[in-house]
Amino acid sequence: MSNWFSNHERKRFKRSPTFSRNSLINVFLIFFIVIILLYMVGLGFIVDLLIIDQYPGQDVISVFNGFILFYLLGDLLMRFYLQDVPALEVQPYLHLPIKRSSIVHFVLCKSIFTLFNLLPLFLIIPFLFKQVIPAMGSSTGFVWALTVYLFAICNTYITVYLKKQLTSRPQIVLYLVLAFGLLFLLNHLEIVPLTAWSMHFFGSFSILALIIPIVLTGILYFLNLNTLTSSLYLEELGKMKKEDAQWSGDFSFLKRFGSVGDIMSLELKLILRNKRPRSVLFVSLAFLCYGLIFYTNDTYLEGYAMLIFVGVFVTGGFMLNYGQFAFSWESGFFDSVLTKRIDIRKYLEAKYNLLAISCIASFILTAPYAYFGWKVILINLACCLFNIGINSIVILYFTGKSPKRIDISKPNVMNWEGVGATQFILIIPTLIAPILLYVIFNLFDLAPYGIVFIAALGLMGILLKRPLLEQFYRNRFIKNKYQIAQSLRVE
Amino acid sequence: MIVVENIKKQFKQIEVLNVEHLEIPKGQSFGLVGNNGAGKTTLFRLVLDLIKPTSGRVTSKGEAVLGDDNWKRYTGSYLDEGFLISFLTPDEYFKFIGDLHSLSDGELKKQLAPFAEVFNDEIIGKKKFIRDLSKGNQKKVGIAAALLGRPEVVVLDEPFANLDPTTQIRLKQLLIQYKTEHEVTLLISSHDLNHVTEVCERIVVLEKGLIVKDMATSAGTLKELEEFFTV
Repeated sequence: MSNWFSNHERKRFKRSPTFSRNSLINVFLIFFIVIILLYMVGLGFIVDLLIIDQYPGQDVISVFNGFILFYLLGDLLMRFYLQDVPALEVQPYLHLPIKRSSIVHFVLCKSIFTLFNLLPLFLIIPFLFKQVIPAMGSSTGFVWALTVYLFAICNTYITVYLKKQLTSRPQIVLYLVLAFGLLFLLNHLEIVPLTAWSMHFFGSFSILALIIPIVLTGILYFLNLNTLTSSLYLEELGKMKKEDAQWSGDFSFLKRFGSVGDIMSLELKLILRNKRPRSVLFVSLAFLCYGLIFYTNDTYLEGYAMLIFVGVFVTGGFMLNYGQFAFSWESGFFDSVLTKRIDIRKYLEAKYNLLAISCIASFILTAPYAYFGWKVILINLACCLFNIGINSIVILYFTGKSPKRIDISKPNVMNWEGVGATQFILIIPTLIAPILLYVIFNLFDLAPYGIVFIAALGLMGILLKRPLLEQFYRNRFIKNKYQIAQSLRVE
Repeated sequence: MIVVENIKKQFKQIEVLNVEHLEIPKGQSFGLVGNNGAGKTTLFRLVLDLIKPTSGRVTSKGEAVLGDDNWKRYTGSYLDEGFLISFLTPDEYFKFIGDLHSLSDGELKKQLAPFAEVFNDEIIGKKKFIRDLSKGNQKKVGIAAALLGRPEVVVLDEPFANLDPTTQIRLKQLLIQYKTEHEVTLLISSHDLNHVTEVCERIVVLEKGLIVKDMATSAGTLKELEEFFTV
């Protein structure tokens, strides 16, 4: 029985569209995972040295024990955002002669096999062999390691449970964040000494401490089994969830800009009403805070290169994130763009305008960075002009060849759909080129003029917008549209 | 065989289905017709326990289907592409369903044989995943899989839609043949009044979630239905 299940899981993994069609992404993804694993192993090997360095004179093991509870809480929060709940993939099995409870057992067993359950091992095992076993002996050491690890397993099931609740009660995210904030605050004010509790609990090294996570895992497993078995219905699996069509505006104020405005309002609705572009928008808002990391550091603030990088990033966050899939967003209806009475130049102009407006809006929103000095604002202004005049054109150029299909109703996190070589190539002209320009000026000790030059290039691009869109893009688009449409269709 | 009792289904306060009593006896071929949004698919989903009724219940062989697994053993169904496992090839999918019914390879082959013509050499033995098949070929796979294991109840939603004329006619013959060879309770919905009156001995018309007509198929049924749907 479980035979076919593992068989299907293996095939689902091996045959997933992103996996088989896009080897570049795989290389990148594997690289990314290896880096994270190396970090964890590295941390596992030096964590004791770090503790000795930071908390001299204290017992290494008990300081480590004090941190475990916080690690577990952080782990839970991270899982809540990144861990998939496989329950969504069971629809094809519902109508077949398979017991409902078996389906749920499979779902729950499958959720154990996640990278998040591998990570804690990399941290625990080196510490176990370097510190715990020499101090406490091997049998006590293994009991300790098992206790910690089983709590991580508990987290898997807490996440499954919470995410299941999320479909019916979205406000749960808010409660979760509030609860975590409160816990950290109470610990900080020493009202609830979480560190001490964690130290006592994991420092007890007793079999009793091991029984608690075992029992807890069991309870959580059966809690999930119960809730999931009774909720194996299309509506609750989210397959039939329908959104209310009322909540987002109709952008009628754009009407006055004629058909360009109409196309822009269509694209705004696309962004606000679909999961993936909507989360791109939120991620881009988070990008606005990127400056805080660099502006607070004087070494960066004195130079130029890093500030230019940050400037392009901060004012162009949305443009880069959203624009890199400029045509892919329309995967679902690109054929209708081509066949409906839409003027190609206006269509391209609408795309350009949307990107330009996002840059201006980002610049205005980040104006408070003036607190870190006028230099920051002037560089951001130059970068904003460069983004509008040059980068928007560059992005539309590179994406307008063979974009990849995207399902805009899927979530954004760890979603590689639509990513291809183009997205990597784009980094060079958009992010690195302005810094290179500056470096050339800097060689002649003319750094400030480098900024002026970047701004001037941007301005020139803005002034040449019409002829560029008219001659260059329109003709190129008309030539490439068959290829674009072909690559956006379902194979 | 299948009894629908006082079933009501609401989506966001809007009632989409309200059936007081509907009984489908064993061996009957039952056709459901109605315009878009009449509640046909909703009714079938309730019969297959894919959605929960707001009130009322559906029973199969006297047992409530809600949360139950027994009816799955003798019920084959295909409503939409969500029923298929998209990353398998058709062969793998048939083998999987066959295994669930403990069919031997020979028996599986035998049960798929009548579909050879319908499949038109595009399904069996091809190295193509189900997700890469055309809509019509996906439907063929789904319907063939629904008939595996010789089910006593077969539920098909719009079996003729998306299929080419040759396949439509062939499928109709297949269903009629299957019906005569095995005592099957057949539930199908269709927009094609011609096909549905040919296959089914009883036609029920749904309109805005309510049963407005329930008739035994006779020579005049097609005409009556055409008149009903002519506005």
